[in-house]
Amino acid sequence: MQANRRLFLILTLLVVFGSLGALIWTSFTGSLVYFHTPTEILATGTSKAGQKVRIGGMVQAGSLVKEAGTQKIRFIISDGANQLPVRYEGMTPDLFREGQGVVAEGPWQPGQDFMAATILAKHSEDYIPVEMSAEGIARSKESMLRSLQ
Amino acid sequence: MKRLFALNRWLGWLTLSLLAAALWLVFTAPLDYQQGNSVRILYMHVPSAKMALFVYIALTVFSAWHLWKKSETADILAEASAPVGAAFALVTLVSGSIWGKPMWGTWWAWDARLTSMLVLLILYMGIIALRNGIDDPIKGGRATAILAIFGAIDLPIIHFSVSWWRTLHQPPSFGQASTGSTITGPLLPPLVWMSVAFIFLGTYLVILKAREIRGRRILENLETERTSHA
Repeated sequence: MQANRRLFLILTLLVVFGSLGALIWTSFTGSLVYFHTPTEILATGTSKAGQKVRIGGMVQAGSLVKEAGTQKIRFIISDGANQLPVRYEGMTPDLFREGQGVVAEGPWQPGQDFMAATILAKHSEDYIPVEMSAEGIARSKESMLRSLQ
Repeated sequence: MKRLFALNRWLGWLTLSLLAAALWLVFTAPLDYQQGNSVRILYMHVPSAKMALFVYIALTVFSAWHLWKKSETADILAEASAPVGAAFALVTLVSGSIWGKPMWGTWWAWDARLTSMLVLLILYMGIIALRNGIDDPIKGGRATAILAIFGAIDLPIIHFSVSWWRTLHQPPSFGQASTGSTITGPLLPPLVWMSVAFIFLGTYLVILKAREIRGRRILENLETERTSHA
C-alpha cells in the first residue's frame, strides 16, 4: 500500500512536470503555432516538401466547388495576401463555410493543389445574433484576418 | 472560520438564485449567426474556464500565506481549493470538446490554449495527489504549497496563449478590438450573469469543502489523542 502510494505520487509529479516542461520547451522552439498561413507556407519553397503541414486562413468567398454525387470539394484558402487551392474528400465540420476560417491538414507538395486529409473549421471570436448576420460576416472576416497576422 | 461557515448557507441560496436567473437568460438568448444553438455551450465553458484560473490564483495566495504565516486556516483553504478548481478545469475541457466536435470538426487539438488548460487540470490533480501521498500532514501541506506556487506559471501561459501563438482556439473576445467586446447585443448579458453566478458558486464550494476538511482534521486530532491515552 505504502509503496503503491509513493509510486503513484512519483508518477503524477513526473506527468505534471513533464507536460509543463514539454509545453515550455515547444514554446521556445516555436512549434506552438498551430498552423501556417498560405503566405508563410509558399515562402518555404521546397524545404517542407512531403511533410505534414497545417495551413489556415479563410475559405475565399465564391471559391467552394462541390462535385455532384461525391464528397469531393475544392476551395481556396486565403490569408488576404496569398491564396492556395485545396482539394478534399469527406465530411466537413458545421462551421466550414465560405468567408469563414479553416485549417487544412495534409502533405505539402509545392506547386500543386493542397490535398487536405483533414479539414477543421476555425471560429473567429465574434458572437453575433442571427438577426445581424450581414454585419457578423463582415466583422468575422476582419477579426480572422487580424488573427492571421 | 465558524462565522464564515454559518454565512455559507446564505451564499448557497444566493448562488442558486443567481444561477437560475442566468440560466433563464442563457436559454432565451438569440441564436448565433454561425453556430445557432451551439453558442449556448459558451455560457458554461467561459465561466468555468475563468473560475479554473481564479481558483488557482486563490490557491496560490493561500499557499503563500500558509508558507509565510504557517496559518492552519490558509492550509485548509488551499486544500479545499484544489478539487473545486479541478472540477472547473474538467468542465471547461469537456464543454469545449462537446462544442469542438460539431463546430471545428474535432474533439481535441494540441494547440497552445487547449494544451495549457490540460496542464492546469493535471496540476490540480498533482496537487491533490501530493497532499494525499505524504503521510505527515504538516510536510504534505508545505510540499503542496510549494508545488502550487511553482505551478502558477501556467496561468499567464493559458491567458496569453491565444495572443502569443496562432491557435485553433479563438482569440479573446474582450479587450482586443476597439469595440470592447466581440460578443454582441443580447448574446452578452447571459455570459456576464453566468460568470457572476460561477464566482459565487466557486466561493460557496470552496467554503463548503473547507468546512468538511476542518471537521475531519479535528476528528483526526481527537482520534490520535484518544489512542495515545489508551
